Amino acid sequence: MIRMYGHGRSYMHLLDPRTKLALMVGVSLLIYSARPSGLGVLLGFVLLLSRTCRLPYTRLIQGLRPMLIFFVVIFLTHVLFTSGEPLFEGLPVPSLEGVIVGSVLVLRFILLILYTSIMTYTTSPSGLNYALMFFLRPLGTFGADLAFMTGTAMTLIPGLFREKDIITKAQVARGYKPRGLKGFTALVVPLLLRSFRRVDELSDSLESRCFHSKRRYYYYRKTLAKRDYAGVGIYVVLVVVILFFF
Amino acid sequence: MIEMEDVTFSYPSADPVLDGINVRVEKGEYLGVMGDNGSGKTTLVRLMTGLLLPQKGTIRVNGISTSDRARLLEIRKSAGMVFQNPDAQAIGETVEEDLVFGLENLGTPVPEIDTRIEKYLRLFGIRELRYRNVRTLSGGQKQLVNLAAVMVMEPECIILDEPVSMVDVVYRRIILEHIPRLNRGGTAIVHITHDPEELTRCHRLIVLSRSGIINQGTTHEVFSQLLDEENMDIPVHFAISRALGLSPVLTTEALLEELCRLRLGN
Repeated sequence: MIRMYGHGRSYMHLLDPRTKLALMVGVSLLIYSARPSGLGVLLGFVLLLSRTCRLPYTRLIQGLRPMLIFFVVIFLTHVLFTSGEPLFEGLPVPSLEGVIVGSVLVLRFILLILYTSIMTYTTSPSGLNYALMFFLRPLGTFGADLAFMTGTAMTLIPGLFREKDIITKAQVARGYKPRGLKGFTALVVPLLLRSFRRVDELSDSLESRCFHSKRRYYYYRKTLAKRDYAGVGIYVVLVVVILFFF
Repeated sequence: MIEMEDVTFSYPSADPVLDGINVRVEKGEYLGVMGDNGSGKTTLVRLMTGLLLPQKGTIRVNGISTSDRARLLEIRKSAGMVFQNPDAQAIGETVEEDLVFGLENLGTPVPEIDTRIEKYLRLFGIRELRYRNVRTLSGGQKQLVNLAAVMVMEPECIILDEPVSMVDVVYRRIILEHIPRLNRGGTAIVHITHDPEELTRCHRLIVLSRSGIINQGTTHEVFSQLLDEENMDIPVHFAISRALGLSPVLTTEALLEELCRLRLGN
């Protein structure tokens, strides 16, 4: 889901990419500083946002699927290693505190991914690159290169997921079971090879389109509009509500 | 436009792929390059645009040597490339972004970008795809977008490396109809393929094999010679017309015309 831009005319689509990137940082900080009750408000806000930019919930949830193992590992780590009041008599783990801390942390990650998905769904890669370049201006040419590399690397992510699915199906068709170390190797080795080839082809394509490090993004450049200030205003209200009332 | 003189190239620890090759592409020419797998077709086009450098010989694009790395951008402006794999060339997320990318690299003013995007989307009949995510398009649509993304930069020459080998039949026909049209518009074309049917509209042909260029000349000359050598790698219309004793033709329309003439004559 992350890095799958969909063209649209929603409020989020029309926001300046710089505003969206700045808000992305702000919302991330809010996600990590909010109390559990505040996270509920944030979840409601994110779902509302996804509705306004016409991003179906199913697609939003699909984006979480690849992270499932990560969530399980984080949750189990906290459940198993956080001391506190035991849930079952005679057993030191799992503890009630571990379950709560694990759940809250997983929820924070889920919120972060959902918000990032909305951001990338409503921001074109060129817009995102432009915003990154704007904020990395103090770093000069290195900043511009870094912004371009980040933006381009992000465009490769959905392709990698697709490649992974294709390889998994191909290996299953050949009788491999995508489980265990052997299954992992059967998946990772061709995926790496394909990724390198893909990067090689992309670099040829960049060369043939006259890419050079001094290029500038200007076609999608915008000037800050009232809606951008309104966006910042909504964020400030959200911060006040979440930090002081929940 | 493109001159390759006595070019030799080999990949590390391998025999030369190309040895002592001489090729010229004139302005506005439509040159076809055919050859079997491993004959060095792709290497040849990568050398033409400076993606690879020869170990021996010189390659010049509009008089600029490809070994002059400081002037590579000028070479790339003159000679655009479309590659075989339609999935691996998109840089932008939407069709519009993909077209804008090259124009931003050239520093084209915004109003001119708008004009050119509109012109080339219309030319290739893909206006309705403008805001579509490139990844959601079919292989054929992607290849049309790739062609538009290179043509929008208005290069003098466009190098097509097996442009329809990974495309479905419908889009293969559409793309193959566009190529001579682009050439008639003044763009020189270098079309690389292993399928002779794709090259029937070329002005000139080069046949590559592992031993180098084995045949070159006008399309009729090359196909006639291949037929005389009983090499069946020639377009079917050409073979039929020769077998019937008609003037050799390369297209269905021309073959029908010849058949009608034959019938009227009888």
